[in-house]
Amino acid sequence: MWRRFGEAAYAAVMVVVFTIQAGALVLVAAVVLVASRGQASNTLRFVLASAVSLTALVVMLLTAYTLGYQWLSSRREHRRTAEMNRWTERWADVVVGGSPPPKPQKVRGAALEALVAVKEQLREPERSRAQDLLQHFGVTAHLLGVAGSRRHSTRRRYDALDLLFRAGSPVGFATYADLSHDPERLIRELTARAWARSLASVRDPVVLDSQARRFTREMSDSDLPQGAIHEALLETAEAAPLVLALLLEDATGDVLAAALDVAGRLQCVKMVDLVPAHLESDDVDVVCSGWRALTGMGASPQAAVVLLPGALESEEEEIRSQAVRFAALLPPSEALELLTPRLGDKSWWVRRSAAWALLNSGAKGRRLLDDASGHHPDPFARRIALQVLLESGEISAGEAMNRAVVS
Amino acid sequence: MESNGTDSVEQGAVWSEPTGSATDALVVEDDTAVAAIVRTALEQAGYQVLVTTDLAGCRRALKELRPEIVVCDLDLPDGNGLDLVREMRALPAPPRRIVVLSGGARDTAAVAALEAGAHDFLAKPFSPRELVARLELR
Amino acid sequence: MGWRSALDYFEYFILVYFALIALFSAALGLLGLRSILLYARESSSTSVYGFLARASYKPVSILVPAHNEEKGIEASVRSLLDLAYPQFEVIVTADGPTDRTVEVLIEAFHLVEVPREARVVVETAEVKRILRSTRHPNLWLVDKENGGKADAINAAFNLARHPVVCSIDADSILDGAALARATRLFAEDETVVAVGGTIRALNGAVLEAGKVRSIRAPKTWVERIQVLEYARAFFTARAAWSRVGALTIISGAFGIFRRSAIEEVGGWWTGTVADDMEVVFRLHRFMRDERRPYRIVATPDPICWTEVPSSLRALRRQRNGWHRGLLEVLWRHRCMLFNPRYGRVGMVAVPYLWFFEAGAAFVEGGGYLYVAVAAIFGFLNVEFALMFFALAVLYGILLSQLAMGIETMLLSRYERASDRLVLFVAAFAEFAGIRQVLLWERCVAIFQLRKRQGKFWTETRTGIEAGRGPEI
Repeated sequence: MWRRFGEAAYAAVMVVVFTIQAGALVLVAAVVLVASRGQASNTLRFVLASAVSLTALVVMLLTAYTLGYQWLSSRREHRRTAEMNRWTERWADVVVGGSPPPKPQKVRGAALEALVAVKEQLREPERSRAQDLLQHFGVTAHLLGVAGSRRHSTRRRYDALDLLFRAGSPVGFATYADLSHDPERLIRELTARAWARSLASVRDPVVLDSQARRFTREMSDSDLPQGAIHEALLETAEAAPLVLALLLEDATGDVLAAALDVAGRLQCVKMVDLVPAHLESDDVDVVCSGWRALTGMGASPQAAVVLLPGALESEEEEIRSQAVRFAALLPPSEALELLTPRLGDKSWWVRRSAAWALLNSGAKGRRLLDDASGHHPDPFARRIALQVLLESGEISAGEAMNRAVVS
Repeated sequence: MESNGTDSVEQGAVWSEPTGSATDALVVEDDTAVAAIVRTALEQAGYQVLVTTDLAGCRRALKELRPEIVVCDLDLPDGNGLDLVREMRALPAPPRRIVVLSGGARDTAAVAALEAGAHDFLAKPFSPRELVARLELR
Repeated sequence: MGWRSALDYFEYFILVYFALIALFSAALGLLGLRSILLYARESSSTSVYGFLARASYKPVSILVPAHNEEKGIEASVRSLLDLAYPQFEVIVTADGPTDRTVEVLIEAFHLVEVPREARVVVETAEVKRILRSTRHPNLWLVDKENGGKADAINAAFNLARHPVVCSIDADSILDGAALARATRLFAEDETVVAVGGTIRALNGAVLEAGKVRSIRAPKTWVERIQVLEYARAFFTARAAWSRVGALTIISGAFGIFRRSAIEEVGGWWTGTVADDMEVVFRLHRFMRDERRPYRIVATPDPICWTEVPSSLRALRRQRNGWHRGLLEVLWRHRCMLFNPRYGRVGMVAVPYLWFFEAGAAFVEGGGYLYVAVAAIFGFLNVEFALMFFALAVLYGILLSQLAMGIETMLLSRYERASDRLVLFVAAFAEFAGIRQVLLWERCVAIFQLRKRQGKFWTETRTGIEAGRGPEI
């Protein structure tokens, strides 16, 4: 983690230093080679002496710069922290304590960050009060301006987008839409999550609907990494049901997989009927996310159950693995029948998931697993049954050793 | 940021009246914004507030003060707030009310906090009014 | 002609050598600086930093080879399990320890033996048993016969199931966010096969709850000089080599690799102390032989703190080992030298290692010898020799100060001015004896190549090698 300023100056100093040094070295080398002819040893002496003094000077310069920078940056940091603390107290007083707001002024820098920090921690009703202040002082407009303009340095733009994310105000969608096509990948990633947060704070259903559509359109077209999309979708919070529903209908590929994952994580049970359609997709990631979503929601719609046997026989290890976990949701009578063959699956992970699922399916499942650990024809099935029984504490280590030896 | 049904509390809660005498409240929180919010809210409710930013600072404060109220964060720079809660409950004169604040996973953190001896739990982001209301509830 | 002119030629050779190495160092310095400054831009905001870590990551298997670690292993494993990282597993290998390492772990983490078929990707010394923690589902222990550090890593590697593996030393302190920054490179770019982190000296740091709170300059000169060495190595040299795509060393104390790539090259080689360097060489060779696009990078950000030898004796042993390792690896891959098939690695990086690292011992040693001979026989121009020596010393100090200047920009830096000055003085002190001693050690190492083969756990403080730094 690096400090916020000084690198440009340092780079400049370095370039100067090295130009001097390189020059000095080249000179020394040249003169040495010339002096090897035997003459001009005085020149050599002079050159060497200058090189030594120059280098010494440069070392002093560098050390002085380092110490100076250290001192300066420490002071700067203390001042900034003090300023932040002052403004934080002030804003807390205004928002929570009911003091009158400060006079109209440019709220920037520490004041801005402090206000955003305060808003971040609040819920209604104080949150709206903070939002009003942000509006009153034109903070969001300013941040959107900085983020959207290529005139500013990339770092300032990152900072602006980050603050917009933290502020989570229901404005700025046009800018976000623009920025989601920015050539810089990081800007696009930061925009996605700021946009998502802003969506989450929209209360007007009409506005929300149209903005959500825009958002999902952009997400579908973007080439953000899956993790970034995932994070952005998670941030949509209250707007998630709408956004996810839109994506589950129209999106494909990475975005669809991310949407399914988030639906599962947020347990958006309302969407359960939109999921089975994707379980037959060609995209392995999508299928896995689909099964994972259903497991996360804890829902087992008939449309999915019908596809389960096929998924359990899939060639893709990950699909079988997810399907096994889903199978654990079914009532024991159905689950046991489907899971038992998976104990002998060729993938260790699938065998393991199946064994755990059996164990968690009640007494009958546990009995079945116990049985399998001793009598299953497939030695790998026996082993995995034993291992899971051991890990879960159902049998002791000694017992496990005995059975292992016997089988 | 799921809603957690604070609506019912909102309708019933009343701004606590200043209790007149200065009572002690100890806040253990390293985030300046949260600390400022909590402090302002508590001072408005009439408490005299001390803010410390880590476990060590809190322990030092507990040597001299007998706070009635403690508002404690779980994620502190030098350790977990739960240990602090347990320590405070074990004091000869434990605080009347201990409320734990946390930004992390709600359910597990809430249960853990209550098991450790906290009287109440509040997830971040939070409403200061609700915090004060929960401090006054018996 | 005669021996006199031969000595003259030798003198010029030394001067030219010095000029070349100085220019190289300058180039590395500037290049490294540039790449770091570009990188710093992204990482100066906490919130952004954290987000980047989560936005794209890959699950990691952390491989921890351990020999006799009964004192510190519990704390180390605990701090690893505490890492703020979304998905990872920790696989510790107890490589035939003669102390209570295994017992300590079993007690502390409730390990039980599991009957498991581990796929054997790389052959290792016999694995006695595999244990797993009932409390922490992502902690594994491999209890095996002694086979050396590389062998231990291989044994852990056999168990690894995540797409990215991270090999670290048992006593390193790692930051979860740092790890995330490293694995992000794997997630964003499919061609990345290895990432080297930055190692910094833990000595003198103030720890709190297993994390580094602040750093102070260490107490002994030996340690202080190493602080400078590591700064030079990681903030200039490695950043630069990485930038030109010719990075040849990734520290065993903190190296992250794509599992599939390691599988393809066959794991770590047990035939050398410098197994960390050797595997990187092999990756370069394999990838270029196969004509596959690939990247091996060093990033300044993922920082790992590790303890460095605090006594001269331990340091000498360590450097002796490193130098032997360097020579073993260079010899094993001698076909890469000036081989255009291996691109920049073969044409620039490997020759650099041959002439300016391995060769430096000879040349520098020869230089001192020359001065001695010249002094004895009376034809030494004392003035020139002194000025030349002064120039060399000052140049070395310049590089140290460049590196420390970069270090100043880190959030966790040596805060106190007194520490800065101490380190500045250390830059001088390096030339006042320690450097010469280490030089001697490196020369000696060459003659010990045959003798000291065997199962490699160098006996420094903990018995495990710390990070590496080139001897600039």
